[in-house]
Amino acid sequence: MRVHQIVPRLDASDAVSNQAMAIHALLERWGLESRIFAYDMDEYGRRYASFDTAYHEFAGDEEDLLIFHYALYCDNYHYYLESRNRKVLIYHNITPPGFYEHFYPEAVRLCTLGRDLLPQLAACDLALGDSDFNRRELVEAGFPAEKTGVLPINPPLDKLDGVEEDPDLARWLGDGKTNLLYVGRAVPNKKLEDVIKLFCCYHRGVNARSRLVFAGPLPINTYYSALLSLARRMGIGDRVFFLGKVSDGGLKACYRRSHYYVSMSEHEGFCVPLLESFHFDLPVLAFAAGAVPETMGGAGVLFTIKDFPLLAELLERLGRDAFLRERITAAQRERLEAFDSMSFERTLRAALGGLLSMRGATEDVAV
Amino acid sequence: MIEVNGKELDEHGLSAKADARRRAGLYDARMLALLERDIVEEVEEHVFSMIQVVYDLQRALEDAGVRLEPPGDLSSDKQGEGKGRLKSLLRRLQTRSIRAVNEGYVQQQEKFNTFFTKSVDLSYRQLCGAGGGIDLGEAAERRDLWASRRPEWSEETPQAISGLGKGRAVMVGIPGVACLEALQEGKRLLLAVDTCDVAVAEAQARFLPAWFHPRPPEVLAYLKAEDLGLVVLAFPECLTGGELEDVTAWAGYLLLEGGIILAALNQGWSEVMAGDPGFVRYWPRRFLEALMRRHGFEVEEWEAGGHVFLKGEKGA
Repeated sequence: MRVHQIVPRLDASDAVSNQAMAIHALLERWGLESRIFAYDMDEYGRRYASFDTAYHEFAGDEEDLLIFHYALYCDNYHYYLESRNRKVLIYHNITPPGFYEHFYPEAVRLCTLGRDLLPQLAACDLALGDSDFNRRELVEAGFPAEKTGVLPINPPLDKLDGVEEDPDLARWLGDGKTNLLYVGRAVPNKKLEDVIKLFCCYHRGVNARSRLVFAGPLPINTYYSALLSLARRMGIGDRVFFLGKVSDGGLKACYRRSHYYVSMSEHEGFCVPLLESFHFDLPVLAFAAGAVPETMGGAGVLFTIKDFPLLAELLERLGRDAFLRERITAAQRERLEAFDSMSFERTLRAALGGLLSMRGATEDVAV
Repeated sequence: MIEVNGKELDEHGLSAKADARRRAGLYDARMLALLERDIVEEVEEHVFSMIQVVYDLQRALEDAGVRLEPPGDLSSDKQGEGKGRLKSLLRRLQTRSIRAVNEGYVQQQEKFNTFFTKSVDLSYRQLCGAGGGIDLGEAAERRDLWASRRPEWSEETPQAISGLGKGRAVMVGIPGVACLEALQEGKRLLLAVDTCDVAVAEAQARFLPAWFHPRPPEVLAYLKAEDLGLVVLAFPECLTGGELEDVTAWAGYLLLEGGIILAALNQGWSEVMAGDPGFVRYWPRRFLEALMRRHGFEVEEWEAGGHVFLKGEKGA
C-alpha cells in the first residue's frame, strides 16, 4: 500500500511541512510506502520530497491513498482532482482575502481563488481540519459533515529542544529588559499593529525598560512599512524589533529569553507558536479569534476586547504576581500534553485506519 | 472579557489602574488617538506602495491583451523554427526584464518607504505643527531645519558631557536619548527641547523631561532655572539665527558663574538624511564663536567621542 502526500511547499520550519513530515514518519513506521510531492521546496525539502509532476505515475492506482494538504491556492490541486487514488484532504485554512485588501493585491487574488476552490475539492473519502474551526469551514464549503474530522498539528518541539540557542540573540534579549514576543509571519490578519499598540501602553504607562520582538518573515513590504511607521509615530520605533525569519537557535533564544507571548491575530487556523510558547513556559495573552481559543484549550490568557491600557495593566500584574504566572504556565504545560506525538499518532491512526485497513482504528475522529 | 485559564477575570482593579494612568497623563490625547488609528490609514497616508503600482501595471497590460509569457511550445511558429524561437526568446527576455525591474523595485521598497516616511511624512507632520501653532508659510521655510536628522553621538560623548560643569543642564536638540539618560542619572537634566517631535517622543517614552516646540526659545523663556550650570546646543541647526541669539543670551544671563555652554559643530557629520550634505545648513564655527563671545563666554574647542564642540565658559 502506498500513501502519497501533496503539499504546496516542503520547507524547514513551516507548519504545513512539519505536519506532512510527521505523517510521513508515522506512515513509514507503520510499514507503509510513503512519498511527498511538492510544487516547490527548499534545501531541507529536497531531502524528502519530489516535485509534484512526478506524482502523475501514481495517480491512476485506485489502491493508493492520496493526502492533499490544502493551505493556499496552488496549481497542484489538479492532481488531486484528477487522481483515482482514495483521497484525504487536510485543510490548513486560507486567510480571508479581505485582510490583504489594502496591502497586497496579488494575495487578495490568490486567497479568493483558494477559498472559491474549496467546494470543488469536496469529493474525497475524508476531509480533516487542523482544528474544529477549520473543519467547520469545510462543512460550510459543502463537505459532508460525516466525512470530516480533526487532526491537530503535532508541533515539532523536539527540534527546538535539540538546538543550542543563538548566543548573541540570547545575550541581547537577556539584558534585563522585559521582552514581549510575537512569532510568525508579519501579515495583516495577525494584526501586529495591535501588538504594537499594546506594547506602547505597556512601555509608556507601565514599564519603560521593555521591548517588543517580532520573529518571523516579513513577506509584505507595504504592511511592514506601515508597522514601522506606526511604531515610529508612537515614539517607540527604537523599542520595536523586527528580526525577520530566524534560525531554530534564534527562535529558541526568543522563546527562552522573552517574558510574555502576545497574539492579536484575528484569523488563525491553528497557531503553532502558542504551543511553542506553552512549551517554553511563556505566559500567553491571545485575542480569542479563529482557532485560537480551541488551541489554547482553556490555558493562558484569552481576551475578547482589545482594550490596550487594560491589557497593559494585566501584563504588569503578571509581572509582579508570580503565583498567577505559575498557575498560567502550569495550565499551559498541561494543555500541551494533548498535542504530544502519541496523541497525534492515535488520532492519525483513527482517522486513516479505515482507509488503510489498519488494526486499532477504533476512535471516530469525525465530529 | 478576559479569561485566565478559562475563568473570567475581575477587571475592576485593572480598569481602575489604567484610568489612574490616563489621569496622570501617561496616555496623552495624541497617544490615545493613535491607539484608535487603523493601520490602513497609515498605508494610505504614509506608505507608497510600489507593489500596487506594479500590480496595476501588470493587470493593465494583461487586460490590453499583452502576453507577458511566451507559449510553452517554442517551435509552434510555422514560418520557421529559428524565427519562432527568436520571437519567443525576445518576448521571454522582455518579460524577464520587466520582472527583474519589478522585483528590484520591491526590494527597494522597504528602503524607499523608510526614507519616505522619515523625510516627507515627518516634515509634513511638523509643517502642520500639532501644538506648535505655526502658520504653514513659515513652516515651509523651516522644513529643512526640522526634518534634518539629529547627529548620533557615540557612547563616550554623553559620558563626557554629563561630567561637564556643575548644576542643572538644559539641552537644545536631542541627539538620541543616551545623552539625556546620562544627564538624568546624574540628576542634572532640567529640560531637553527639540523641534523634532519624534526625538521628543522617544525621550518622553523613557520618562525623560523633554518637550517639543517649533520655537525652542519660547519654552526656555518660561523655564525656572535657578541652578543652571550647563546648556548644550546639540543640534544648533534646529534653530534659526535669531533663535540662536536668543538662546545664547538666555544662557549668558542664567548660567551660574563658571557655567558652560556647549555648541556642537556638526559640519562634516555626513550622515544627513537626504544623503546630500547640503541639505542641512550647518552654522559656521565663526558665527557660533562670535555669538558666544558677544554674550560673555570664554570660547575654546572641545572634543569628546570624536565629536567637536565649541565650549564657552561664563566668566565672573
